[in-house]
Amino acid sequence: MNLKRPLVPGFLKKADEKLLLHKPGIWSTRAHLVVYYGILFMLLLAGICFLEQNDVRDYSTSDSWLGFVIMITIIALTVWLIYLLRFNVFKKYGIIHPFYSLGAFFLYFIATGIIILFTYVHPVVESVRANLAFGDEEIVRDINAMNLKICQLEYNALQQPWNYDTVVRVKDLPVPAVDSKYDEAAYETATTPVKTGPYGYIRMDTTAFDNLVRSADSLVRLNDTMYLHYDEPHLTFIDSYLADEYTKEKILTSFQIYDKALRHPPAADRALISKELGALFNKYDYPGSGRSSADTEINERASVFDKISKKYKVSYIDGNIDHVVSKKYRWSERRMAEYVRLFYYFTLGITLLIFIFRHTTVRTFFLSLLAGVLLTIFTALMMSFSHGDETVFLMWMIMYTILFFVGSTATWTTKKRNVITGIMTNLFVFVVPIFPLLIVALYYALKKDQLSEQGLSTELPNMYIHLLLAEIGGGILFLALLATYIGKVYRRWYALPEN
Amino acid sequence: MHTRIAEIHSYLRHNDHSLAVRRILDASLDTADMSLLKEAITVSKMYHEFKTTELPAAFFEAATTLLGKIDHVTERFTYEPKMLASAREISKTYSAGNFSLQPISLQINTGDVLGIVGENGNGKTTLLRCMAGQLALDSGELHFAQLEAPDHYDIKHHLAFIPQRIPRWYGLLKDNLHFSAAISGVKGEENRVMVDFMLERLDLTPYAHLTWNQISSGYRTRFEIARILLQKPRLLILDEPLANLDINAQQSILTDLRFMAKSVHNPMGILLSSQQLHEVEKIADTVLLIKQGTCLFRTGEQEKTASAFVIELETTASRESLLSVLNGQGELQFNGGFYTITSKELAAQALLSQLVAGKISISYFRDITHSTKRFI
Repeated sequence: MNLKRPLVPGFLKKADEKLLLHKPGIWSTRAHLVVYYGILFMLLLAGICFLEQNDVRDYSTSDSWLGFVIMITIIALTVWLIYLLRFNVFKKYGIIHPFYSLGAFFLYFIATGIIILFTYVHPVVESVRANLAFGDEEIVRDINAMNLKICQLEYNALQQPWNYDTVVRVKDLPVPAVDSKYDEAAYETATTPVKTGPYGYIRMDTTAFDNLVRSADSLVRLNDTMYLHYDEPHLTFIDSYLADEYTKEKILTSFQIYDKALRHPPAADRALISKELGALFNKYDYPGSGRSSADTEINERASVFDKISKKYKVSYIDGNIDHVVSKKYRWSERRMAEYVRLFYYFTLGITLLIFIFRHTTVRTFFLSLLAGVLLTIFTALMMSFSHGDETVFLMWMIMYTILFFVGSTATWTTKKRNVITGIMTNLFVFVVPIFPLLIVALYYALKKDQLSEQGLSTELPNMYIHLLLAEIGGGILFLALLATYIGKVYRRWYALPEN
Repeated sequence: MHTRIAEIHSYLRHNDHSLAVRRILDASLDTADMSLLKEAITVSKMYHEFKTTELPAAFFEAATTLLGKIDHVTERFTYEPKMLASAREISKTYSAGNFSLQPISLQINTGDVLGIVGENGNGKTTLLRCMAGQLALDSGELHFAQLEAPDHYDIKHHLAFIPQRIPRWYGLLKDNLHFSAAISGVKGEENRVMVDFMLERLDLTPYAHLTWNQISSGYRTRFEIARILLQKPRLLILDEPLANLDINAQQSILTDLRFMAKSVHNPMGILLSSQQLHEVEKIADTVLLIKQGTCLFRTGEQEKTASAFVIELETTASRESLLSVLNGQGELQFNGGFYTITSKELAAQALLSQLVAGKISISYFRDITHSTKRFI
C-alpha cells in the first residue's frame, strides 16, 4: 500500500492504510487527506499572508487575494474529486451500513468545507494583523484625542454661534385625512410642511416633542411649549463606524467634544498639542497613503469643518482608521452571520452535488443538472409573464419540492431503473435543505402582503430569527431524511435493473 | 482431501511445481486458517523467487511440511452443493433493435461451472446480464436461494459480474484489491492476507504496485478476477473472460476458476460465456449453446441424444483419399480449415485407427460427438 506516495508522512500512511483495511467507506472519501493537507495549506497560506507587505492601515487586499485563492480552491476541489471518484463503496455494491449515506455526506461536507475555508485565510490573517497592531480601546482613545486636539488647536475658528430651531409643542396636531382615491390636491394639503421656514416654528405633536427633549444635546426652554433646539456643530473630524461597538470607552459626540475642548480655552500650549496631534497622525498614517503629498489648498467658501478637515488632511487618517477597524471587526457578530451563511451555502451546494454524483449514474446526474437549468428558465419565464412577485416564486419552489418528492417515491413502485425518478430524486435532494426556509419565507411574504394591503407596517420583528431557525431546521430535516429516506431511495434506485 | 494432498505431492515429485503451488494455495485457503494461508503465501513467494533457477531444498521442505499441516485439519473440510440461483423461463426483448432472448431456464449450484457458448450477437451477454440483475426481464423470474427477501442491492452484492470490457481501475492496483475486500467485510489482517493470497494465487504479485495503464489487457482480466474473488461472491458471472488471454493463460484461468468454484472455504457458482468452446467444455459442468436467442443445445441431458459420431479433422490428405478410407461409412464436410466426419458406424477410436491404417497424415483430431461444436 502507498508504494508510490513518497511525500505522504509516515503517520498519515499508517492512518490511510488502517482506514483502507478497516473503514473503506471513510477511506474512499479521502476526507482524512483533505483535512491534513487542507490544514497544512491553510497554515502555509497564512504564513504567506503574514509576509505580505501590506500595511494594516492600508486598504484591504482580500479581494485580490480572493481571486487567487479561489483558483487554488478550484484546483484543490478538482484534485480531491479525482481521488474521491476513484472508489465508491455504494456503486460497488459493498456492505453498507444503514447510516452510510449520512456518514458519507458528513465526510464530504467536512472535506468541501476545509477547501472552502481557504478563501477565509487572508481575511482572518488581516484581522489578526490589525488586532495585533492596534488595540480596541487604543483606537477609540486615539480618535477622541485627535478630535479634541484638533478642536483645541482650532479653538478660535470654532467659536461660532450655533444654528437653532424654534420648536413648538402642539396638542392634537391634525393629521389630514386622505381619500382612498388619489387626490393630488388633498395630498398636497395633507403634506403641507409642519415646519414653517428657517426662522419660523417647527410644530411637533406631544410624542415627537417629548422624544426631542429627551434626546437633544442642547435645548433652551422659552416656555412650557416652546424651546430653542440648538444644532451643535459637527466636531467629530475623525470618526469610525463600529470602532467603539465593543469597547468600554466610546467615541465622543460633537457635544461632548465641545464640552471638553471648546467650552474653555485650552490649558496646554499649542506647540505641545500640535506635537501630540502630529504623533497621533503619524501613528495612523503610512507612507503610501498619499497624505504627505495631498493638496492643501483650501476653498474659502467651504464650511469651517471642511476647512479644518482639509488643513489637517484628516480624511486620510479617517480612512486609514476605517481600514484598521473594518479589518479588526470583520468577524464581529454583525457580519459573522453573513460569512457563516456564505460558507454554509457554498459548502452545502458543492457537497450536495458531490453526494448526488456519488449516488446516481453519470447520465442521470447530468440530466438532473440540465433539468434544473430548464426548470429555472421555465420558472423565470412564468414569473415574468405573470408578473409574479416573491410570493409566487416561493410557491413555485415549494410546489417543485413536493413534486420532486412525489417523483422520488415512484422508485418504490417501479421495477426498472427509470431516469425520470432518478432526476426527481436528485432534484429533491438538492432542494430539500431549503424547504423549511421556503415555507417560512412564504408565510412572511403572505403576511407582509396582508399588512401592506391593510396599510400597516411590514416590519416583522421575529422574521429574521424564524428564518434562521428555518435554515437550521432545513439542515436537520435533510440529515434526518438522509438517514431514513434518501439513502434507501438511492439504494433501491441504483440497484434496479435497466431496460 | 487426502487424495488432493496426495495429488499435490505427486505434482511436486513430477516437477509440476507451478500447479503444485497453486493447489497448495487452494488447499490452504480451504482450511480457513490464516496461519496456514500465510505459510502457503511464503511457499508461493519462494517458488516465484527461484522458479527461473533451481528450486532450493527449503522450498520442498516448506511445501511438504505445509501439506502435512493441511492434511491434519481434514475435519474442517466438508463440501455440500447448495442451490444458488435459478432462472425460470426468462426472456428479454430490447426496445430498440430486433434481438430477442427466448425463454431460457437454468439452475446453478455452489461449485457448478456453467458455460454459455455461441456466436457473436446471439444473446450470450444478454443472458448473463439478465442473470446478473442488470437487465429487466420481460418474463420469467430469477430466484436466489440463499437470500431471504432480497432487494436488488442485496442481489448485486451477492453476485459479481465481470463484463467483457472491464471498466478502468484508478489508483494503485493493490489499493483496489484491498478496497474490494474491505467493502465485502474482509477487514484488517485478514484483508492483508487475502490480498497477498490472491496476488500469489493469480501470479500478480510483481504487478501489484502498478496502475491500470501499466499492465496488459490479459493482466487486467486477471486483476479483475482477483478483485471480484476477494469480494467472495456466491455467484460469479464472467462475460468472455478468455477474450484477452493467451492460450496458456486461458487454460490456467479456467482451471483455477473451476478449483475456486469448488472451494470448501468459499464455494461459488460460475456462469461464463466464451467462444472458446473446447476450453469451456473442458471445465464446465454444463454448457449451453445459444443461437439466435434460443438455447439450442445443453450438455448433460441432450448430449445423450447424439445420433451419430462426429469427428473434427485437420489433414493435408485430399478429399478423395479420405472418402476412400471412410469407405461409405461416413459423411465428409470441409469448412476450408477442417474436415467434419459424421458417421453412424465408426466411433472416434475406430475412425482414428482406420485413418492411420489408410496412411492419412493427421495434424489435428477431435471427437466433437458430445460437443456444442457440432452445432456451429
